[in-house]
Amino acid sequence: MLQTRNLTRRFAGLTAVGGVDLDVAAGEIFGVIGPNGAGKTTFFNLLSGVFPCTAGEILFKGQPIHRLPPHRIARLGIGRTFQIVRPFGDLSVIENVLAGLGARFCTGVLPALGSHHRKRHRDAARALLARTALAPYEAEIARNLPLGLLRRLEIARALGLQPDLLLLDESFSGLSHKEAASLVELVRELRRDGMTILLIEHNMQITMQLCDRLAVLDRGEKIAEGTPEEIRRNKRVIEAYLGQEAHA
Amino acid sequence: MNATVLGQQLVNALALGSVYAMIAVGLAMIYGVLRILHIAHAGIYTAGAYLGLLAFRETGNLVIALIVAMTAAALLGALIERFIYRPMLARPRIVALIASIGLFICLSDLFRILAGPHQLAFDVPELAGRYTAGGITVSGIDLVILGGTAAIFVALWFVIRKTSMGFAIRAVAQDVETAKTMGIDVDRSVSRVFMIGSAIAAFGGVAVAILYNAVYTTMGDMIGYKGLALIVIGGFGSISGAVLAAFLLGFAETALTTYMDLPLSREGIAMLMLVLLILIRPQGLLGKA
Amino acid sequence: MLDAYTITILSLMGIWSIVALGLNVITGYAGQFNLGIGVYMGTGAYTTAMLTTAAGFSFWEALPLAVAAAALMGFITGLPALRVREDSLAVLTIGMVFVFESLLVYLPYFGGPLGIGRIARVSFGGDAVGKEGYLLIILAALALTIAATLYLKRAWIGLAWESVRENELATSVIGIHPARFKLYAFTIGAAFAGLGGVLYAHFTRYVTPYDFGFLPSIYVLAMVVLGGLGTIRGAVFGACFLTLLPELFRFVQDYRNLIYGMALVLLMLYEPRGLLGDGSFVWRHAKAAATRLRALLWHGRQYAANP
Repeated sequence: MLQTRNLTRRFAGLTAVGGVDLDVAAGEIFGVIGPNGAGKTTFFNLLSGVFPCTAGEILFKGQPIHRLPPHRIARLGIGRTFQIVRPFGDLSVIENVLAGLGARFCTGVLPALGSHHRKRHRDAARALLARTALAPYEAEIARNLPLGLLRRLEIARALGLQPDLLLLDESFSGLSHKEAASLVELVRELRRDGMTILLIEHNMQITMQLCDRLAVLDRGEKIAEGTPEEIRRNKRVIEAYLGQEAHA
Repeated sequence: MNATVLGQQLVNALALGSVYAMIAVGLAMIYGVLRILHIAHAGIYTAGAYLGLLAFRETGNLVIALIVAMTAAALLGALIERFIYRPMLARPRIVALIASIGLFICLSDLFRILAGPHQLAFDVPELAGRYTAGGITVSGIDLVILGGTAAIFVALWFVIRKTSMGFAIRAVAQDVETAKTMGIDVDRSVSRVFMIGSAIAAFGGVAVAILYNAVYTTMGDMIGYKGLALIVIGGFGSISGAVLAAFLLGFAETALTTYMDLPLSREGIAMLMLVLLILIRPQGLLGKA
Repeated sequence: MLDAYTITILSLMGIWSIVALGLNVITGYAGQFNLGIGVYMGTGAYTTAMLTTAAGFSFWEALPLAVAAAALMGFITGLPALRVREDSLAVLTIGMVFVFESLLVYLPYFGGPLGIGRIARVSFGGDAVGKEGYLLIILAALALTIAATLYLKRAWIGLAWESVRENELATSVIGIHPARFKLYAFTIGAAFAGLGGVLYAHFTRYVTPYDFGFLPSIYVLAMVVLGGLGTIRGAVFGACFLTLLPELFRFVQDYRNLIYGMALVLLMLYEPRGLLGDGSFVWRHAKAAATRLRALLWHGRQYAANP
């Protein structure tokens, strides 16, 4: 589904991401972990086209996407959430989700002039809200929602384009135990429906229970890859994390 | 063209650039710490001119007049920051921008109401003397401008680079959160930036008023808008960029108005430079991409 | 009918409402700071002025061309706007309106600082339209503009605009191309402002470069912000209010800038969403009152049905 070869991003003399090779198979839940500042979010930004890469390439379903702008990559089937949530604050929950459907229903100048109040659009939005358990909050203004709901809203919005690959950037951060558990369920459901998921996460427990495979980044480089069990026992990984803790 | 004319133009351009630089420096510093386009800064500039004139009329002493003007401007700047901008920090950026525009419009009209719509003379006989060297004639006020600007920049450089106050200001401009964790009193630093910037603008106002022997309510308008153009051209957040842009504009204006006949006012020239530069290099001359 | 003075005020209120609605599309819906709406209003005004005086066009013939010219200007000025972020955009638009005003003053074709005068009266069906007739034309244009902006807000393009305004990055990762929609906003907003400009030109029958410079642009921004940025009711209310105010209180005329300036500052401090913006004091109470009224009527009906 997704392959990166020698993916590199250098910026102002620093190598944020250095020569990362990755292979994510379809239908996998793949985790990207690593100590703070390891370059994980930069990696996601490269995948979704937010940053241009300095070297290397990204192949999505066999197609190179590393030179494409974010909106084209999204339309090809990659959705993402953000580490610090970016909801459309002034809009209601259902409008946020409708925006996510926008690119699906609106592919040219004329369709852009169609109303988004039509029943089938609203129904599609409501379906997504139901899927992410946000239905009761439909009319709430996004900026008034607590973090847990906002994280789910971002996912609901990202699902609008029916992505084949979903990038979740620390979507479990700041969630209560219950919220995290229900989100884990949602992620598993999405995978059951055929989605491939790539996630960045700090919470080890969640990562270990959710992911099929993991890659570990440290200072921009991939230092390990494998199943959760393998990673847990990997000496280099432990050192990398301990190094962090010594400074913490 | 011969050397003396060129030399003369050079002096003019430097003087003009210095005045622009004085406005631009304050604007750049304020933008650096608050990320606000302080359009009302031009109002401080004009206030400085009026206050300087008032003080000069009362005391007959230019030095005292300058001190009064700069101190009063610093106070005014601090009040504006405290009561108008600080409450708006949590709001979307357009709020502060509109407030600044409103404040500027209000101030301009206030000057008209308090001091009358007519132009006032700012005559300082001691500075009327002209000094000639190598064929170039420089008036006393030109010397004050050039000398004052140099002195101010040296002092500013010293404060920013070598004092703890300057360090605090730089930290806040870099990253407010980090500065707070370092124990820096952000509010105080911001307030100081406003005071310093406003005082410098007031100096510029007095200097220009003497130079053209005119104090009038709209003298800040064009300077204000050009000042904004300058911090964009220089690159947001870059003081040296703003100063560089200021001198470039001074030179460009002097050269273009003397030697070419463009269908633009002097303001138009500044703005055209702005528009062109943004197209070619959106991050400004010395700005970060 | 109405006296001449009232007609004049209503006409101006209508004209400025249309321009304000144009700015509302660019800055209110799409969130693109624009401190130079005068460029588009001026393009519309000068185009129709030149076409009707020098080229013998009639108002009706010049109208679509002038609006199209304004839209084109919107598009052209929108292109550099794509490359810059918020603050630079504000300054860029200030720069553009200054250059625009400057060019109008200094280039010979535009009549210089005195502008263009003796602009033709509007005629309909062979007869010159009187002041009342022209007011009707203005109101018709206003109704059209309101209907159009309302429609756009409810269309996908409106939603895309609001997404761009709220968070440009999030908009791009859901497949919407921010630049494309920003250009739409500039073009369409400019068209409305241009329409206002055309109506203005044939109302005053005399246009000068200073009618469309920085300060007039700020006045329009003040109208939109005062009423409520991003709302149609806000733009119209703000335009009407700020047109009416100097007339109602003569002293306001003398202290115009002082009061406007202070009002803007106070507004930004205490009610940044505008007087009629969502969540403002006035609007919330108006909605609450409307809800109570509806409940009252409904209960009243219920009561009448089952005494």
